[in-house]
Amino acid sequence: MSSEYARVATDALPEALRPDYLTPNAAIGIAFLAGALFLALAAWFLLKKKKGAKRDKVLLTGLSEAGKTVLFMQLRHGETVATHTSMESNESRFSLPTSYSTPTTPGPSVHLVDLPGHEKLRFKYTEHIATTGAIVFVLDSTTIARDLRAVAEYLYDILVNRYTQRNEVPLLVLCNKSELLMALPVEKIRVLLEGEIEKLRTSRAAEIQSLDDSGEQEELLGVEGEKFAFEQLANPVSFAKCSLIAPAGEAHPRGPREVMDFIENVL
Amino acid sequence: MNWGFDDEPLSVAVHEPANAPLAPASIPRHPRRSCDCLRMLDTVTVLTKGGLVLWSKAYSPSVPTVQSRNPVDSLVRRVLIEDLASANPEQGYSKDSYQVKWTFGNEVGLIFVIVYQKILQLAYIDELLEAFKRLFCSLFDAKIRDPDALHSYAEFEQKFDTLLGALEAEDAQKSKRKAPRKFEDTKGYQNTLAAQASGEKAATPDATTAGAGTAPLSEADKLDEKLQALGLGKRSGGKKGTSGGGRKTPQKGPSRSGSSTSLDSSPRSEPKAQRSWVGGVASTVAATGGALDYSDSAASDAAIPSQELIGAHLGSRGHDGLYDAAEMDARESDDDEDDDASAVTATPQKSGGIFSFFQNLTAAKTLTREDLDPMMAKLREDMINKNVASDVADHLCASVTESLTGTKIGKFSSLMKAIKQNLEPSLRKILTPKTSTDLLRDILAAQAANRPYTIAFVGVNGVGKSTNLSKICFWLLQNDLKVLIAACDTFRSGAVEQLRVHVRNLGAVHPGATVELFDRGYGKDPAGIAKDAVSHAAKNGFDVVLIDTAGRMQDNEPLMRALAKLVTVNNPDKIIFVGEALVGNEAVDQLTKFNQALKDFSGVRNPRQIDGIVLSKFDTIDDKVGAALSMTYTTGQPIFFVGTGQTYTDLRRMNVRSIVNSLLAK
Repeated sequence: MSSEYARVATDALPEALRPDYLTPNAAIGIAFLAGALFLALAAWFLLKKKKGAKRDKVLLTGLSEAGKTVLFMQLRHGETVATHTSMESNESRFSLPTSYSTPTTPGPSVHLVDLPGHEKLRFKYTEHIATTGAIVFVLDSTTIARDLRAVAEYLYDILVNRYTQRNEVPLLVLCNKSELLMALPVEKIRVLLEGEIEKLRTSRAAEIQSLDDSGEQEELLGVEGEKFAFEQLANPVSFAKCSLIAPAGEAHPRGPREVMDFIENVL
Repeated sequence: MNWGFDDEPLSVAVHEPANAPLAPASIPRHPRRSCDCLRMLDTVTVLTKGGLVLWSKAYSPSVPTVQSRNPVDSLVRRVLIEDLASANPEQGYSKDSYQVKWTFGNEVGLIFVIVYQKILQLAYIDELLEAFKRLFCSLFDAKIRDPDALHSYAEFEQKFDTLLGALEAEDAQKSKRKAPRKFEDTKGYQNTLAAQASGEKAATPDATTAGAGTAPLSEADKLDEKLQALGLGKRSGGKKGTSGGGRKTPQKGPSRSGSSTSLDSSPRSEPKAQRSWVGGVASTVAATGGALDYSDSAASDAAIPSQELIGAHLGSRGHDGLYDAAEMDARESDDDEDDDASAVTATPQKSGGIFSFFQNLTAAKTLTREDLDPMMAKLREDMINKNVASDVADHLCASVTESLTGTKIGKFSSLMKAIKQNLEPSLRKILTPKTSTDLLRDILAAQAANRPYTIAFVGVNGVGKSTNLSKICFWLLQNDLKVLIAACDTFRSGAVEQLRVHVRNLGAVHPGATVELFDRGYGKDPAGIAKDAVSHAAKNGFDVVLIDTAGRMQDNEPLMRALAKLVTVNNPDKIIFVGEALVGNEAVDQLTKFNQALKDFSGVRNPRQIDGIVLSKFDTIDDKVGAALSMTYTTGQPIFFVGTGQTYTDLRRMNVRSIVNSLLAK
């Protein structure tokens, strides 16, 4: 049976390549070519894989109740939905509809991950951070004064993470719920966060060594000896205000413009 | 869960007319009844674990929507994430005036929640919840499994109302019969029934049901049939058979399909047609007739058989009252994070020949409780060998079982691996603190507010309170803080002198640092000494007051009272429990009793509890790190520091990852 196939296959080859007619030189040449081709293919696949595993994730982070899941659903499905506290991540890979995208030419593909905001589940961002290309940090503009420390600590942890620093991951601080009366203006929020991170920087630097510490010291955020400001960071940190549940008429059908632009720029 | 048979109905505590159906006297007889009774529930919700609400109905507008006060959010946060030990699925969780009951649909990653007023004792809630879950899962199976679009589940509303109406009618019927409780209704009767198993079950009129002589159906089967009878379930036995092609729950498959078809074909409305309430229900059904489009046949007689079936159900329900979740197991496991939808659509359809052979060979296996139990016993033993308290180990095993039952694992992947994969994040979750553990930041805030920051160290005898206090003092001094140590151990001789030596040493190590001892000798009231120390510190510009207390056994009531007084009088910023890493089961006992004493003896409305833990003697335990887990699990509070040796610098922060690794290592 198999010899039959072999014969048919040989017959299909051009005359010069049939085993009977091959000169030793030609055989070596063919073997060499095949080897080179194989290596090139392997290299191409490896590169592609590496690039595929590269940082294509967009993380939605922030405390509970900030509006991460609503934002996720707006970006993913273009609808505003009712949500409760998440206990697991929402994750989806899809093509982001952008200003120039049409049904035939879809926008860039994003891998969006909405992480639960609860303190006990916060560690989940560490599972994704190595392959993250952009981070959206959502906060609630109305409660920021009360939750300042918790927000700043989470933001600090993300900013000081070695992957964020090494990859210079761009970060957007999205001040949600800006339509409400109690909302603080973005500039004020920025100043508050900078002040709080400044304090955290000192207290973290003085922290006791951790068990089984591999000697990796967290780097100091910003410039030593100067008051902390987001501009000092290597990774770009931008601020934007938005209102995910906007009053009628102003609603963005597919998520706020600021976030779309941010993601579009990064990708 | 015994269906509230043993509870008296709450006929006195009726608040609003909506509660009336519970009172035996007021079984409504007119069609409007269904509208009234719907208000007994506050909210019914289906949500994904990711937080997306798939379908929700609010019966009462008063449920707060702010996340911090919404009962559903509170459930997710306090119970499902923080793992509040006092709440479990059987008893439910109470938040403010609400009672919340929930169940997981693990196969599809959903949570089903019912919220009602705590004051109501609705006996049918458990059945409603289970029927709700079943109905929703079977109706929207395809939609739920399709992650690529948002679906509307609005049409579920009428179906749910029909279900609710039927169950409430049944409940009302029951309470009407209640006044002189029949033997048939008692637990004793149910036990007798259970003992008799199958044969003579159909003797009494009340229990005459789903075909005398047929083999007893499982709880799950009955529920399915009831749903069918209501015209809510899958259309027919045949349809079920095909749609559930992938289902191969071994012990159930054949008996269920067999009996359900036989029931479908048999006439089943003879004995109870005359009951007065039937009219009410029947008209309910007719009124919401639009909802019944899906049902196969006569909607009008649907309610009656349902009553019969409910009767059967009651007859044999009883001791454990848990529905067997294995019923829906054999579906595709849901994986929220799985992007690849092809797997979802490809698997469950049966296809003939070779493919199905291979499928059988390699198909993922649905986990049942029976599969998991032996592994759980082993896991439990492993954990106890790691010094995890047995209560905590039991609870963890139970929660792993609960979250794995109904999911699928590949035939070639190891069950133990799946269990450990499931366990790892939950261990991390337990050990991860829910609040900041940055003490220095707290102290800076207190400094800014111009007041000393106070930390009280409590614990049983000889665990190292004074030693760890001085280690923490050393660290604070390194950060240029002024520390006052209050010697409130006025009980054990030598305690004050011990601290004095520490203060002298610390002063010598840190020349120029400000550290002082505040002592008033022995035999005085520790609460008063602490108070004096705090005011002394405030006057003299100290940043931190460390309060050393006497060691006390958790059962020693006079000493525990004294501790509660110290805490109440001084209201320290942090109450830190010092515990040995060596303890096993004792850890849970110590912590619960300390917390209980602080609560019982404080005499205030919102008593303080332990805020954090220092785990001492951690260098002595090798990889038996179970105490860390037991303590954080019991209190829900973080481990601030770990003592790892004899010198002032042997103090570490806990590293969650390394503890989890030690726990999971063989």
